[in-house]
Amino acid sequence: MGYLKYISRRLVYGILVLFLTFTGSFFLLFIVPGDAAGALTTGGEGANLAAALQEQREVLGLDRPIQTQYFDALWSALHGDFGISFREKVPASTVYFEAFGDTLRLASVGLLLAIVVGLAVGLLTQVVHLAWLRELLLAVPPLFVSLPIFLTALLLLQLFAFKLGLIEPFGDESLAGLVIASLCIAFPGGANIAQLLAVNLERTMRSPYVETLSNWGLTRREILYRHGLKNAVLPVLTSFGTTVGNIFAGTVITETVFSRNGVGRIIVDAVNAKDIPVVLISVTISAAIFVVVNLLVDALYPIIDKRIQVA
Amino acid sequence: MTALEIQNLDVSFRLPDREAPIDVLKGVSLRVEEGEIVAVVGESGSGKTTLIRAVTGSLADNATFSADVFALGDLDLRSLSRAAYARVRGARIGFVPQDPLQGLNPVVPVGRLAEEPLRKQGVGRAQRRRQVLELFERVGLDDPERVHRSFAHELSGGMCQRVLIAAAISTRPRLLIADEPTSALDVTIQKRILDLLVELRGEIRCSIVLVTHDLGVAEERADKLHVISRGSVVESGSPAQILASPTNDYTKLLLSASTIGTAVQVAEPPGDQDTSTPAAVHVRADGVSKRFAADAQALSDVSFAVRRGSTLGIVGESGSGKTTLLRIVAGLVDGYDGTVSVDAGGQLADIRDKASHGYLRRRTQLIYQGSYGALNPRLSVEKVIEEPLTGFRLGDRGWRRDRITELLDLVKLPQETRHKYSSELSGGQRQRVAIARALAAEPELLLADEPVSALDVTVQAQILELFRELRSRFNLTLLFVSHDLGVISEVADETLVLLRGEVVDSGPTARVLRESGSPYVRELVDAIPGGQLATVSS
Repeated sequence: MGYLKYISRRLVYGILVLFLTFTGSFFLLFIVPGDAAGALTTGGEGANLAAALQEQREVLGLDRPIQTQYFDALWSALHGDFGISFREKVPASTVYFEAFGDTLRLASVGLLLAIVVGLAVGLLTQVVHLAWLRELLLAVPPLFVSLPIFLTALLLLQLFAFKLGLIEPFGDESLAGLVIASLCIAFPGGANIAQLLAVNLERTMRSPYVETLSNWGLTRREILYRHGLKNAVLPVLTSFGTTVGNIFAGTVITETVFSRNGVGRIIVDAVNAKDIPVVLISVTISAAIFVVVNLLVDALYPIIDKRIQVA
Repeated sequence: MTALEIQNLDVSFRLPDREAPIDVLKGVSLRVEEGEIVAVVGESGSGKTTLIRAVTGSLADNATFSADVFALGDLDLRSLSRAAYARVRGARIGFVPQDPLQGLNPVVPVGRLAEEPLRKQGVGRAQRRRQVLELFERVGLDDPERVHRSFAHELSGGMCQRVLIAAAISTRPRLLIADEPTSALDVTIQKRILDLLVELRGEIRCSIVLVTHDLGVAEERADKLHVISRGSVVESGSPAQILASPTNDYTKLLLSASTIGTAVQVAEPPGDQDTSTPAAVHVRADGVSKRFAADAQALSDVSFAVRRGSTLGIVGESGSGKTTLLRIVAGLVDGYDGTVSVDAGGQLADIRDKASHGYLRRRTQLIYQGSYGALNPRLSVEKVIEEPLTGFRLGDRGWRRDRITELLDLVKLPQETRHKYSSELSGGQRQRVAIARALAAEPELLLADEPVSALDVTVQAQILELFRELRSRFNLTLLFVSHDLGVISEVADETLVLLRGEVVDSGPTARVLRESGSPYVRELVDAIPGGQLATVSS
């Protein structure tokens, strides 16, 4: 059973990635100077400050040796318990999942737009007959790939909130607000898909089997939809895992610029406050999403392309 | 009734960076009667692909086209719109492509692919499936059901070509165009596919236009033969006529090149009448075995010995292990059983020893089949040839420049080639550059992997001649791998025939070719195309 073996190996890699992410972010927070106790006692009075710090550290368990803290955190995390947020004094999972819905909505809309627009533009480059339109369709994606998200976000905010007044500049919860914010992450993702699809369609349509099909009486459009697309979409699928990762990464910046609630903001705040439990759950779940998507892509690939020898 | 008639066909292409259009076909006329097989023979660049595209109406947009008569039966092809032509293709003109593996969409099961022409004719799903399965059976595919759900990569080249033939004839076209249908296949398969085409012609009563670079393939099966060179038909007639008295110089050249290897059937091959004292053994293999995966035995118990200055030809079809054997000798493959030893200075030593390993690196060079892929496209010819010189730190800049001049002369390339890039060279020129590079560091042992199989026959003949000349001039030992027994017979003193990793026969080339007791070797000899050519031209 080659396929099962292949999938289980991928699964093991995925678990390894989760473990390394967890461990890496835990120790990174210790390398950065300062700790949560310091952040919580900021503004305290002079004489009592040292005592207050010490007391706070004991409360948070930061006075224990670092390896004890690490194994404790790892063991609890394995049981699904990431501990109590240092800052909010409620379970880290509560803090995280309160914001997760907003981010998931933003990312999903962004991803959906990216896929639909990306595939459409990529396909259009091969269908359109007008030379200038074709050139335009080929030229736009590289432009959007290279635009940094914060710039797109600022430009969109400027245009839709301040010039046109269509959305609130701060934390617009409406559908329009959601769609416009999601555009910043949809642009680079969609442009990437469009670029990959266009290039691969172009190459596919020049392969020898296309000439065979054409000589069997199939029209160019039939060949494109019935034969070319399936071949050209494979590299797009390969990069899908990365696209999803980029989209989740993009939400952090987008949420910050549009002042939206979401995981992105939670992560920024948690890192600033050295709120270890919240950072760990955020990072682990982001990594888990990335791992699951890539696992799905890996699982699908040999089913779509039978040439892939699974082992 | 005439199936296809072309009179005075001109095709030219307009290129954006050129004033004058390039004429690719000039005044081509040919006629295919019903049920006839007409062969169009020409080398790469002769315009034969353009001719096919003109007939199938798939010339590029920058082509201009004119003809006095251009008719398929009673249908004037000149007046067809793009959409109307799409209805003619597949329905009235069948098409069999050159490379069967690449001619099939890799991600669609071949059964569904082969149904495409019928689907285009509006035949329903169940019926076209039944028809295709019947055709699969007819073209000699065992277990049609299984083939129907297979993907191209799961089938052999010959099976893929049968699938393509089944698809092409499924609509019962009046005319079948076969574009080099066998040049990507092993010789023994090649013969069976051609026989199948001839058989089917009688059965479905279609005419066949067989386009090929191989005069041998053409003369054995065609009723009529057209030789095309630089866009013009230079000779037409029955094969017997043309072979007996070729009037055109190009045909004569093609004819002499096509007799490569067939000489063995009529005359003593060169090379094995050496009467001087036998030289010492230069390379020796004892019981070499190699397996890749648990179930793939690449080589089992292969032994040979090659004397210094002589040539060993290694023949086999794809998958026979011939390239693996060569790579083992080159020291590029590890994990094999048995020993390979080389005479690095006085006596034979295992190539896994340090001294022999160094010798292999320094005095052994490889020459590959794909001269295009083997040359770095970003380096000029000069730089390509200089690479081994700088790699081995030989001489100073001036010396290296002189050495390159000398090498270009050796491989008979004009000096101005040194500043060109590989994309500007022809296949033969590229192979000459590869040979010059191999010779640069003065090797004693050359390992050549299919060095001529990507070349046109006339060019093949020249490169083989170059090999013979260089070999005797520098007393080179040569291991020459080819799938083509004809080519091997031209250069090899001794020949080793491999079949699925095992030695079927080995010995002096002349004996292997003429007296081998192995049925497989006999089959290979019979499959050398153009057996008839030899008797005519000798």
